[in-house]
Amino acid sequence: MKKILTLALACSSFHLFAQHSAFMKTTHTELSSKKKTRPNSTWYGRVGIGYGLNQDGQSTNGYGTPYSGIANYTANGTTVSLSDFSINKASFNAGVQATVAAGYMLDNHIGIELAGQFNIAPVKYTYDAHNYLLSGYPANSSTTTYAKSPIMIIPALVLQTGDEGLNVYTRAGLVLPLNTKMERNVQVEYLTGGPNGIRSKEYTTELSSKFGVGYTGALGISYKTDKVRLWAEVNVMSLSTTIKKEQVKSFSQDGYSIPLQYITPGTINYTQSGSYDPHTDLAYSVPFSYIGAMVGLSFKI
Amino acid sequence: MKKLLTILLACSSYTVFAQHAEFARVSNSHSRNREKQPLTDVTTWYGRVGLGYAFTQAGQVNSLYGIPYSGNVSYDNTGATINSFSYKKASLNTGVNASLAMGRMFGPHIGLELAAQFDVAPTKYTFNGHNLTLGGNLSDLTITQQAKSPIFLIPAAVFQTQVANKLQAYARLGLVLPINTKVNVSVNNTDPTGNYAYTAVQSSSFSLGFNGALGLKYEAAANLKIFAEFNVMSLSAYTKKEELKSYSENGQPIPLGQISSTTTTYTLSGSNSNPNNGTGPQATSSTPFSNAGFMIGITMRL
Repeated sequence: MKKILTLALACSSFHLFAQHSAFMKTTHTELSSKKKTRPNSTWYGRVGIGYGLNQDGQSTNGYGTPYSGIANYTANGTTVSLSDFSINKASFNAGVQATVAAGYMLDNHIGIELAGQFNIAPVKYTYDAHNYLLSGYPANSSTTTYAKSPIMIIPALVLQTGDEGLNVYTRAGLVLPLNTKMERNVQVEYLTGGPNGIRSKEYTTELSSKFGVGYTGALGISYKTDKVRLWAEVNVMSLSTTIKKEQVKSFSQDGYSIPLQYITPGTINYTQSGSYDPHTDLAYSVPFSYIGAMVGLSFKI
Repeated sequence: MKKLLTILLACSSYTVFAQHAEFARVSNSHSRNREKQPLTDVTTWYGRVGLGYAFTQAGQVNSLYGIPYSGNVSYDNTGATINSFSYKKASLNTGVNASLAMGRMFGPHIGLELAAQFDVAPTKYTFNGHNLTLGGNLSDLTITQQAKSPIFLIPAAVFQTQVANKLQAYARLGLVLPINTKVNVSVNNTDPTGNYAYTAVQSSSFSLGFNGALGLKYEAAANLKIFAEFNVMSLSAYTKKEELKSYSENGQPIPLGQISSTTTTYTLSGSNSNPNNGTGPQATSSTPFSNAGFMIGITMRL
């Protein structure tokens, strides 16, 4: 009987304790929810990795030279004609993309976010021209152009269908380019000798652009697990920058390096209006738009 | 019998009344609980019309001819040195835009829409060149380019949420399917040998673009909302063909039948092309149609 009473008391105590715990939990939840100014508002972090393909791209630079492809010419004395060509569209923000973001959901359906997007492996574009006239000399050349790890800051608005289980979301925001520097490497082989009898030259320049605002959007699905939210999305970016400056970084002739102080002009400034100057040229736009896919996870912070 | 019918009718009316009262109670309760999600947007068809203006975004400087779409350049009397230049970025899809759309909301937050967008007054771009070296002569050249009323179909996903009483925020993200991206070109060239002028129409190969919008909707009446949005379009088309439409020399029209070739094709790859006389396929280049703009309009429940 004593054992039964003890057991009953224990069960009763446990029951009371459980009720008390549940009450405390409920009270605590109620108090916590009362403290919040909006229901279900939460901070979150987001990381992801994906790949961007050329979209809204261009095929030629400001001089009308293709970024990517091949062209075979037939040089005959002082005249040259194009015999065949194959060119590709280009965008300098294509390649492997990584993103790190922090955001705040105002409720289950709307939030704001600030992301940093990094192109960690930008696509390199090469254009080969054969047997054309370069400053009057028959030549072959190979030009490789690529962006030097573009970085974009993206403030955005987030809308989603809900917070639990499987949801659809969209994101739309501005693109503020932090780094859109590019590098261009040009290798020239003179077929019958060039200026001052040189047989080849190679130089590398760095191109920087003016600041320009772009736009981005994403459409994705997310699935909330116990600890994190997994997501997959298609995203697009619309951005073109205007070239501002080109600086020679290295120069060699016939395999011999030439000190940069002997290179003229070592720097070219590009503008949209002005007058002739050896250091000034017409600015042109550079494509950074892309369409891509990205997967990742987000978590409460 | 009459009494029986009266009783049945009364019972029936009471049942209907009770059902209505219960429905009203549930609806009211539902409205109270979800007052930020109006039932008018749950699973409903809607129509949308809007008018706006778009500016150049992600545009380009150079046209198919390798010279700027818009601006001026002046060379010295030798044609070798630029005296001055001034030009702007261009997109051929800027100007006054109108939109007509129909959509269906699948709940309070997500829907699908199909829109047709028309650039009803596209911007005209003019390039003026002075003392350009063309064909061994110093020329004064004017080129005008204007899209010929671009039309796009835009299937899109729509997201929306209530942000205040009668006020909703929404986002739209969709594909751009270009229906018409033709461009009118007018060229006028004067050099010491005389003057020639021609008009042509460029057409492009199909390419896919993207469109997005962020906006606010205000419920002005039960089935009518007023919207204001910021939208962007990302699209570049690649010129496929240029067809000559008229040609004149020194002001005298020349019949097109007397012109050896009135069509030039442009491709991403080709052979046996001759840029000097325009025979064979020429290397194509992109034509910018991206823009960023504003639009206002109304949505109606259908």
